[in-house]
Amino acid sequence: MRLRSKQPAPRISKDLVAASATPLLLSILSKGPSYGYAIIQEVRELSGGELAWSEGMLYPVLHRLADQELIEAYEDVGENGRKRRYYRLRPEGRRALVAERRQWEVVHSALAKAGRS
Amino acid sequence: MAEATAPQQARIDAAISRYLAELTAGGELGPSDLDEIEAHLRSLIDDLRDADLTIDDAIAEATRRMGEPCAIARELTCVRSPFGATLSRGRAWSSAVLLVPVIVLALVDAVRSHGGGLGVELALCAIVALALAARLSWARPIVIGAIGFLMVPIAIATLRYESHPLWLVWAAGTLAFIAPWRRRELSKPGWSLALQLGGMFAALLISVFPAPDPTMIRSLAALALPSCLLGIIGTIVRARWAVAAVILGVVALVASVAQLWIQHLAAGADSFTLARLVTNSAAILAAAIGGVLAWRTTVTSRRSAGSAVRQVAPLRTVVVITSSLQLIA
Repeated sequence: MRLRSKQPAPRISKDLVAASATPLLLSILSKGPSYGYAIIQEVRELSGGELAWSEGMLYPVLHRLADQELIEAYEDVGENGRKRRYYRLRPEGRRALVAERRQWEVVHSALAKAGRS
Repeated sequence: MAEATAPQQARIDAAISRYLAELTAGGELGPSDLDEIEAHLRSLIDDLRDADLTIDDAIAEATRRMGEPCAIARELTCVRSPFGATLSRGRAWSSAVLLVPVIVLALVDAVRSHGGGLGVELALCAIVALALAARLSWARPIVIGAIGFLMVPIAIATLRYESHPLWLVWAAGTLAFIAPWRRRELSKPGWSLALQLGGMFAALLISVFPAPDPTMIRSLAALALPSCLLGIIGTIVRARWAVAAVILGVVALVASVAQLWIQHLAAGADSFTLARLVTNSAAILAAAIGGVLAWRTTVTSRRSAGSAVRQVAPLRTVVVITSSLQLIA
């Protein structure tokens, strides 16, 4: 007889991780400026460790958002005295976040209704 | 966390240096990009040591969590240059050097014909070769497109013993240095530029294509050539007006190649002529696809202004250098 192992926590697919990156980063930065390592920590905390990001891949995403002028980067000295590159949301980013949230709400509500029917 | 001893700190520093070296080998990154990743690695190693991991385990876990350095470098390079990954110095300079024979031959031809001949082609080729050596991101797709489209007529001419096989080797060799061997090395704007070169080549080849009645065909090709060139320049500065130029060029090329087909089919063309017509038609189709990609990747808003300034500033420098070289020549 085969033993049934306890169902593991669902692993979020790579596509979904990639799709959620922009709204998640914009949401985190909407609370205030932050830097790469702190952003990764917050993502881990918010998702209860379920969102497994390759940490280095955060930077291309942040730079792409900066290239799209949704966020902007600036240098500052952190609490440990090290010079860090911080990111903050631009007004365009705030508008993009509203639009992204609306899209995710539509998907969420469609999924919830589909689950009920 | 216990303070790291000097040998432990040296091990951490060495591991971080190795990781950063792998990053720089994978793509051209700026010092601020490397500083940012180094700061991340140091914070991660500190936190892992706080969680009671040994120095070696903390280093191994931190580099694992950071991810494959080559992949990160490639992604960062793609973001920094809108047309795709920047070529390494060796590949860029090798391919630029390989362009020199063409420039020399064009120069000889221009001198022989007292400045007539291939003056414009010479200037364009020199601009692209200099831009490639300077590793400007738009130069690579242009050379990929140019060599790619050039290889077909060279191959046809070699098969008919009209051209020395060495030219085919030269084209394949140059292409080998600059071809995007890895997935996503060229971005969509990069592919748009490479494909638009098809329009330039079709216009050049059609303007010298033998035809029973070439008057209208050559006028259309003469209209298409500057339009395609304008389309390429517009795509480099990522302005949406580039698409209008590409459309004009493609329409003129379609009209001219249609006339060529009609005239040659009516006159009973040989297989060689038909092969050249098919090549030209395919190049025009490629230019049209390049135009569609340009539409999807260029911008109309004020964002294009900043991008234009960033792209045009080095372009202007290259033009000034080329003009000076031409004056000396």
